[in-house]
Amino acid sequence: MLKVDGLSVGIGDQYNSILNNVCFSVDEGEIIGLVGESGSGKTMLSLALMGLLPKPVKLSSGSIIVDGQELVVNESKRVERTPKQLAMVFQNPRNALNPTMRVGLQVRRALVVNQKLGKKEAKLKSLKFMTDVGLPDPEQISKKYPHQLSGGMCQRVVIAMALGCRPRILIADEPTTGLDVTIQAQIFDLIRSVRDETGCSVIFISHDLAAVSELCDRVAVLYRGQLMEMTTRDRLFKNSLHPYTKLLISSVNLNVKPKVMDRGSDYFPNGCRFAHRCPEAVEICVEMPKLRELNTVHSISCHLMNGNTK
Amino acid sequence: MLPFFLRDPLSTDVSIAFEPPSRRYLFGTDKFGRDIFSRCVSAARIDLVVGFSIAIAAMFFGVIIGLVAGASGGRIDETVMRLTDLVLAFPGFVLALVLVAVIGDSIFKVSVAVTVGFIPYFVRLIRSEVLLQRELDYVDAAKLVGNNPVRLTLVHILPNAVGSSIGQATLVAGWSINTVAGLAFLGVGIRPPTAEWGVMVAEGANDIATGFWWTSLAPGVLIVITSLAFHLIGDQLSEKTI
Repeated sequence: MLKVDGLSVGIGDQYNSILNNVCFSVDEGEIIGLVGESGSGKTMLSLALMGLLPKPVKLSSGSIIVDGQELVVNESKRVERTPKQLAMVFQNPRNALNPTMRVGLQVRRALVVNQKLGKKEAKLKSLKFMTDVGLPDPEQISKKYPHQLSGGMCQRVVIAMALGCRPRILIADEPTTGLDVTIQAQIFDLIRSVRDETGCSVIFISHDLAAVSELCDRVAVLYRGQLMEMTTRDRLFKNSLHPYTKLLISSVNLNVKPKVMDRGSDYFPNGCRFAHRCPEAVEICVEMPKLRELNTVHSISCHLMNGNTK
Repeated sequence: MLPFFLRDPLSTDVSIAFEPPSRRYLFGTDKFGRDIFSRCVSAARIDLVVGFSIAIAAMFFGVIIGLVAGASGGRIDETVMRLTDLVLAFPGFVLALVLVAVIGDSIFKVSVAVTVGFIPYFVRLIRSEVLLQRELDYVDAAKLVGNNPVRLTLVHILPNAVGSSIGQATLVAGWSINTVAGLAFLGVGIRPPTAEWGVMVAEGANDIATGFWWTSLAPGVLIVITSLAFHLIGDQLSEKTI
């Protein structure tokens, strides 16, 4: 469905400073969780896929294949827009809607521009999509401006717009950070039902491990632009192998005080990007580990898994 | 004798020259015996219309130029910004003075000259708003849905960027009334015997020394009130939109 191979993103000479050699794939109808702390490159990865990288940031290498078709990288080193296949749900739903336009019109325009529908048809379809995302009385709501709606309703409108693009892959970049817990649960249900009905895959970006453990089939862990570990949800939470993942998961548990080293972030300039904080680091960690498939469902980039131990 | 609101602002009658303000001549008469009240009222037509037109024209061109500069960025943006720097380097009044001297002094030409000086304010304002708006998520969202860049700029960015210019336009309306009256006072731009506040202040200025203080008073006070009113409205509008 989606296959990302050796994706590096950086600024200027530092071709891989933001994302380094990220490889992963997403199967049809799968919900993939992308976790990592702030600044780990989660959002940059989604922007790279959408072709929305901000000006100085460049896609320096790698390929993105959607449905067997490689996305074209243009001369400014960004992915050419591919709205037909990818759609995105943004972090803050209020910012993702034009404040001076009625929400109904925004959904309708999405259909007209993206699906080349006529005006009448677009209107009917937009009302249908708005019903699908669980907005009560879509006729009334479509006449409102974003500031008249609650955050949860705005996010539903944004999801309706994304659905209007009939995406094969829906990227949800922390779609629930601005919402409270009950609305969060509703949005998760909505994402799941969208997946069930349209058969699209979902890339769910979050720093909330609880949310990821509830929603996702597989989880990828990102740290400073390096893909650390990727495996099924159950394996990740019960049987994680990477030292970073272990620490990340144990950090949620208030009773355990994780042991983290601090050797200064440039301690291993070319090595594993977690080495400077890794409690299990060994000499070989000054080299960058390759992402290795342990078995069909578990990949990891750590020298410790290659038979190197302390 | 006609009632005060029906007198011709241009008809002269030396027999009633320099009548002080009274119930018959509300603001008095000037040295040609013209009724100052009716001249003030008639001048409002020119001054208000000129003030509004300058503000609207400056906003219209300023918004277009600022939008193009902000949306296209790069070399076009750089060129436009340096040009606005160039215009802003002259005091607006001096610029208008020079332009009027070059292109001539009909009411229309004076308005054009004053407008040119005010365009850069709008260009900068709109450009900065456009730069701000285009970083926001909804622009990305609209881009992803498949809107082309022109549509993106006109339908999504422009309505969100234009708000603060409306307050600015009201301020500019006040300034331009000042400027036009100031030019007329200096004897460039609108010429006597046209009834215009600046012209009337200039004409009356010579008579103040001889004791006829009312000839300049009424138009002067009107200029102050009008531009003050525009400023207060503009201030309120800018506060509301920010």
